[in-house]
Amino acid sequence: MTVATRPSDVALAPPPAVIGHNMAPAFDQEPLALLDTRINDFAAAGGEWLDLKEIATDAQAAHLTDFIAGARKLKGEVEAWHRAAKAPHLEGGRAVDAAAKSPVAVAERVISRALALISPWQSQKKREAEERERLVRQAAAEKLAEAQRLARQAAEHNDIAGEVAAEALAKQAVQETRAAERVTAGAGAVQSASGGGRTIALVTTRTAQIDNILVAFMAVRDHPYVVEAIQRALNERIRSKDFNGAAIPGVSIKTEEKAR
Amino acid sequence: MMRQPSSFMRLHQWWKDALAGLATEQHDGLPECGCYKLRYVKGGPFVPVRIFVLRDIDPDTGELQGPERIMAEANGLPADPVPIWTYLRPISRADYDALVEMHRSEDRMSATNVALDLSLTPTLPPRSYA
Repeated sequence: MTVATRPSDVALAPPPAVIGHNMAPAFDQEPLALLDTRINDFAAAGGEWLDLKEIATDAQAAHLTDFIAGARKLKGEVEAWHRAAKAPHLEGGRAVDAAAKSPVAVAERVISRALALISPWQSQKKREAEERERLVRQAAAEKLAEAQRLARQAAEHNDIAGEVAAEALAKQAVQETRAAERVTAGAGAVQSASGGGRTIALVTTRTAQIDNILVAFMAVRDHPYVVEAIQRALNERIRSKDFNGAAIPGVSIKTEEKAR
Repeated sequence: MMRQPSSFMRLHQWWKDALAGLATEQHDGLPECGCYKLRYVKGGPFVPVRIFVLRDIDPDTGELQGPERIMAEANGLPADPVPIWTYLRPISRADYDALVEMHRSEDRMSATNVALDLSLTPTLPPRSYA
């Protein structure tokens, strides 16, 4: 007599395979699982310690010292496992970095030398464009002056056609000035010969040179970088072995005690 | 020759001075009575040590019937106090009793010749120690 097949007898279809499902894990899971268990034990014990709220006896303090020593040692073991598990990957990464270093350096040198070669040409083009813009501005100013003279003359003689012509002349002068400005703004950029390369632009950057440190400091004293740098310099001074406790103007020293 | 037994204060004076923080010197080969702790290996658990004097006293006269012999007991076992004397650290009676109780109740304290690995099991708050 055959036994009826139940739905529970039919195995579920396996989950669909995705790319990487057969890949081995990056590290051995078992040591980490053991360390995890011990860490969780310490976390649970830490909860028991915190339930005390405060240390009231020498025995509690001594036992807590042992607990902290054990936790520190366990943390060291986890960190040692971390370093060991990561080492092969780090070495592989370093090998790849070493292999890529030379060709990248050569490419960077080639590019920087080529940019240095093209920069004077771009600067020359920029200067020429600025000179042309100056001449156009000059001509436009003369045209505008002429348009204003014609406008006054047309107004005196009630010459409507003359007024319209003067306005057109003034408008033309403004348009020529704006066109020259647009050309100068893009001057110095060198486009690709074939169309496949990016345009190389001429970029102007500004760098500050400190002529008077005290005066310069007053200009940026509120900047977060400056405040952080002053804080670090002061901490270094008051924590140094040679510090004699002498007062520092504008600074008050706070002390706090912490277990370590 | 009639000899009176040494008094408790005289036998334990060095130990009491050491506990009080007074300047005392631990001379090699000259152990003093009191309660101490000792570590057999670096990082190993503390072992309670008691140094005391054994003497035969005549119950009728109260006099010594023989020389006073200085003895030691380390973790409950008889020990010679002379070779271990300079490794001993004086502790109070309460700390000594607490250490004895720790050895009784915590298994990890029993391996006295091996460094203690505090990371294997977390140390929990003490239950009833001093």
